[in-house]
Amino acid sequence: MGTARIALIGVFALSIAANVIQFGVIDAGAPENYQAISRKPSSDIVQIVSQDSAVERIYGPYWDISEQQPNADIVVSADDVDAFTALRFFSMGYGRADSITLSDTDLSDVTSLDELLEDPLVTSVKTGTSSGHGHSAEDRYYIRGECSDEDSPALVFGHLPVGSGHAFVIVDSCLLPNSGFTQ
Amino acid sequence: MIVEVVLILSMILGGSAVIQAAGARGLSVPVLGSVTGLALYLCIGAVQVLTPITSSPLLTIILTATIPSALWVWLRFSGAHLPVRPLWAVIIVVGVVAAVGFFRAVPQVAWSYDSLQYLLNGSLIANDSITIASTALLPKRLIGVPELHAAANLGGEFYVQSITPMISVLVLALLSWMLWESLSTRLSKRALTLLIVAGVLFLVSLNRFVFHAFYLNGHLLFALLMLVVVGGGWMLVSTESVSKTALITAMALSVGALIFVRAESSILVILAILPILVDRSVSRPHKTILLATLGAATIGWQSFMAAVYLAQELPVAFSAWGLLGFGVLMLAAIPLLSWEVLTTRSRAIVVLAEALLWLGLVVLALREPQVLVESISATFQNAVLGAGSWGLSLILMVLMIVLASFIAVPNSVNLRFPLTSFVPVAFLLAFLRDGAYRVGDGDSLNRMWIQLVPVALFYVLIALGIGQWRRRSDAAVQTSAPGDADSQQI
Repeated sequence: MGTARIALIGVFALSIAANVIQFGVIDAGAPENYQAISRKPSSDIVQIVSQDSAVERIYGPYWDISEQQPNADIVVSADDVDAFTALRFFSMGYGRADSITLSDTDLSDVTSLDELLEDPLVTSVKTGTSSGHGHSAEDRYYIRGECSDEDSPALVFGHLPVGSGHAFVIVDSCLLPNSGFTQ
Repeated sequence: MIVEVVLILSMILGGSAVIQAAGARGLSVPVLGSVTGLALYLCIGAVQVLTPITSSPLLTIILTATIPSALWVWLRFSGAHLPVRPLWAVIIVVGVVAAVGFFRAVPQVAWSYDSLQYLLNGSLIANDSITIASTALLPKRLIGVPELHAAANLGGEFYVQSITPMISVLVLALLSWMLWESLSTRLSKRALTLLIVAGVLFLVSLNRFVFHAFYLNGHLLFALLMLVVVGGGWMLVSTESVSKTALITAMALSVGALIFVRAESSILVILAILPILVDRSVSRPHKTILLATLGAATIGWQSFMAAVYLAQELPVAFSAWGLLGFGVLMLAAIPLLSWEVLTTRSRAIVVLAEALLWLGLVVLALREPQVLVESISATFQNAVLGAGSWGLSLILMVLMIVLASFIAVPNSVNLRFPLTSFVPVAFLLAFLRDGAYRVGDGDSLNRMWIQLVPVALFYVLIALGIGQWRRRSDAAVQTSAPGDADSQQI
């Protein structure tokens, strides 16, 4: 048996021993996301990653939609034209929407946030923070009404003024005046 | 759970049918067949994405299972000897159900921001709308990993929980099978079993291997397919125990699948298959199949990317044009495979290729030295000083490769070249991505090392198993083996 082979056997055995010994030490020093053994509270990826606020701000609105109103037809407010590309692939991907189109009307021209929130037909309002939807770190509202069509949901995306800034609003189309938006 | 079981069984069924039809027998059918089925699934899914037909993962599953099965049935009715092993089939089905159930029950998953982009693309594939994906994400995340997870959307989930752990199991199975087939005529069963157990033990005790076994990313998938291409390529020229048609089938499908897994795949694949392309003992049709698959898959993907850019009214990225040209070059090079100089000057060609990579790195480093300095510094901290969670493993792995290079291994260039050429390529990629590597677990090069580990381990174990531990009864066979160490060492 040659010297190189004997040395190789030795280093190989040493490597296995080193792997075993350092396994726990490496995990102890690694960030949680990069630990080899890291039990999570569940296997639900949305539940796991939503604990990261930066992730939740970007993807949260779409995971909400896919959970509550999958296969929705979405219309985007005309003034969000710059964000339309991003809104489209987020909605069609994580939002599991059926379609998404750009309106020729601004959401702020047909309603206001106060008007929506005071509507007696509203059944639920989910709030949070949002980013990556045309503006960074803004409030977000997901407003649902009892008029919502469960089989064929129709939603409107847009921005509405709040104080000195804007809020990202997802609302059931039926809650808007004249039941919706032109495309 | 049903979706995941059906998905994985479709891969095993389709891949096994292809591999058996290609001439494989025994354990080769389920092991090499499973990897081939995985690659076939990715290739069929890619064809769906690149063409106007629906990208629904349901269709991918159906086609993966039925096309090879139809071929298998046709061959069997034509008189081909294709034995069926009902007991093995039952064991595999029960094993898959148990494994999927286990991996779904264990709440263990690792993720990063990249993972969520892969899953987003997966949802778009499932929704048949991948063409609207962000041009910032699609060229980076591609469609290979998203295709695997797209099937989860059929069951209302976003990722296939068992697929990444199953890929890690497949790495272990493939490595074990390759070692068995490569060394069974050279070692006693006891010595060979010990060697295989040691190899498996090395991987399952490796912290980063376990991490990648649950990490929603494509590094271990890439490692598995690379092991097929590199390890299979070495077996093609060094052993007679496995059908060459079966090996080439698995390798070609893996080459095709690799192109859709990572952005830099085209470059890494040509380096992986270069020693095969210049090897005299490999037939020209086999070389043509590998090069044509590489060229066609590259052209297909980059053409699709160009179409996506244009559809979104954006200028086509330079990288897409460059790789499109690379794909065309690969197809144009097929007629050159008959050149005698390729095989007579094979050593010079391989050395030249590696020298050109280093030269390219030097040129770019002279233009932007800071990128290289920062990348080397970060890589040193990650791989050597522990910032990348590798501990001593990478250092010891490099030491083992150096020691293995002192052992006469037949056709060692097939195993050595993809490993050593990766070093300049890795640092060249830092320039191409316009940014130096960084310190920490999440650095892309730090995560890419796992892609080489199975191939490196295969090289080390082959070096350990070949040579002096010969069975006396096989000594005569050894001296006339096709890849004799002394005569074929490059």
